Amino acid sequence: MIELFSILTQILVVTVFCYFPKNAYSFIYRKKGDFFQCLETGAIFNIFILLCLSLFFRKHMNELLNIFLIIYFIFNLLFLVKDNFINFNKKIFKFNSLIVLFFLLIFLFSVDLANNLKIGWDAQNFWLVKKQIFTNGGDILDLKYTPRDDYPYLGSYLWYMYSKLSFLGYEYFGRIFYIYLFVLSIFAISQTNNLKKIENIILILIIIFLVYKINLFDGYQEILNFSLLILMTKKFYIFFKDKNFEKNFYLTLTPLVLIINSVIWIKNEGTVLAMIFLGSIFLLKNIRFHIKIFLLSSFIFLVLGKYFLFDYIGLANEIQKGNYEYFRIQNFFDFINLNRIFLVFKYIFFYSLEVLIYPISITILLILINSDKKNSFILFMVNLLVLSLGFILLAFLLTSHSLEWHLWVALDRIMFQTSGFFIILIPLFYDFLREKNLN
Amino acid sequence: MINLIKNIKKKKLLIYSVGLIIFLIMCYQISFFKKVYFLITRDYDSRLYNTYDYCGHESVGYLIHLKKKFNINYKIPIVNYGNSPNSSWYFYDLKIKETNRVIFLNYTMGNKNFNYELNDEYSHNLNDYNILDNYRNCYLLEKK
Repeated sequence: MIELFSILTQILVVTVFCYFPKNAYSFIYRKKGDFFQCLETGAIFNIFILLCLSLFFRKHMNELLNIFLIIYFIFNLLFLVKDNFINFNKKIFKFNSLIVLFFLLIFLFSVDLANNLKIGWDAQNFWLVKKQIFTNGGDILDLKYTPRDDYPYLGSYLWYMYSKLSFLGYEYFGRIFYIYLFVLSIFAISQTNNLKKIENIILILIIIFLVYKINLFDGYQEILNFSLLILMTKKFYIFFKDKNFEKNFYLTLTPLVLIINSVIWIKNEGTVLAMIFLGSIFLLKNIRFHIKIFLLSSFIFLVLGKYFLFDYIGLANEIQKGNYEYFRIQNFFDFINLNRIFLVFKYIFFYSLEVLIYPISITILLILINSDKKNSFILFMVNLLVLSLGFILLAFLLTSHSLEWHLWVALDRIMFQTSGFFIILIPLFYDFLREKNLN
Repeated sequence: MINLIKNIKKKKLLIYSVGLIIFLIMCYQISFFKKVYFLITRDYDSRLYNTYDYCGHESVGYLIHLKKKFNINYKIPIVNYGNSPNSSWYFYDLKIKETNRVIFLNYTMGNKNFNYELNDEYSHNLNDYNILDNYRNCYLLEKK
């Protein structure tokens, strides 16, 4: 019973930490945000703040870190209460089915997790080991003693931090944050267009039906990047739709830049995923040049920042050390030939039956392009799809491992991760069908 | 007017019922109620015990057994001779202390994937140890 209660408390603790004051939200976006908009923006800032904490707080500063966390918690709690309970109107007392469903789903998946405690292979070998460094009182400077010191550590730090912030301290309480971010991102994406609550609920349940598996939360970091990519496309979509945002783009794009930063610090391929995202934006004609420059310079700044910080920490600055060491221009055709390309496509085809978002997205894209060839956002999605597939193809063709083995163990995860880009197509398609019916 | 309101309410009720049914199907799919029961009646270790093999792969079941039987409150080094990751994370909350004990999991001298020369911190010969506990090829050993 205590554990059940602790799970509920943990969900509330994460909510408080992920909350973003409504005033701050309206300062950034120049409009009032609802509960979920504040939470999604807050989650992005929260991940960034925790990254900063990991960099600044050394092992002898544990008490200072605890004081900071208490202040952070109280500060956020005050705003959460003020925004939602003190400045209330009659509406607050109405039954808000979305908020109830949100907490119910997180609770549901957390209970599922608490009964499936198995940690995945890579997670035990790499990500959990990094988390253990922090759990045992170490700091980022000790990460160089862990296996795969070229891997970033933000996901492990979040895992550590949220298990530290729980009542019972079990490791899986840290993974409840992964569930929280996953559910939050799906709620965020299903609310991109102004749909009725019940339409939102149906969309959320459909997406969750398509995506949810308990082994997504077995300590692998793909789920974090998947959720962040969902938020990334959503943030870009609302920026793209609302031309007013361009006036103070440096503010409205800040959450997007922070997401890019988080993705880079969670997994090595995050840098490539960010490049795919930015590349797709640069290919759009109706995005102004100064915005592209802002995004590009922010990305370069973030990548260089990560490079120098890795250097300072003593971590390896190679991307996927050992995976691509045999590739040379001289043996180009040993790596890139029709047989290998066919094999990769064969695996992509069969794994897309596992990661259903891919075939669904391609179908939706074909329908949407057919109906509106000039829609820039759809073109953006096409760019994302082509670049993502190109990345997957190259990442596997150039591997130094046995191609079939590498595809077998890693393709589903990389496909799942990139599928986060395309979840937005489901609410967009629903909107398209609704408008078609109205007409 | 009242009829209209009633109709709207009926429609809403129907839609919410559909949402509720989908939600309940989801609960059924992940065996939610059974898992809530397990969460109330089984402690963390018992659930871990059921998730992993007792003596095989990570052998967390055997580690739980050792922790309980020997009241272990410090980290004991683990050598996993199998192909699975080292499960020393199970002792994450215990203090670090010098010990002459070691745990061998999935002990074998014939695993081609295990580098016996590189993992030379502990002798691979069981004759060099007193066997404190043993289940199949999982051992708690103490250096002679």
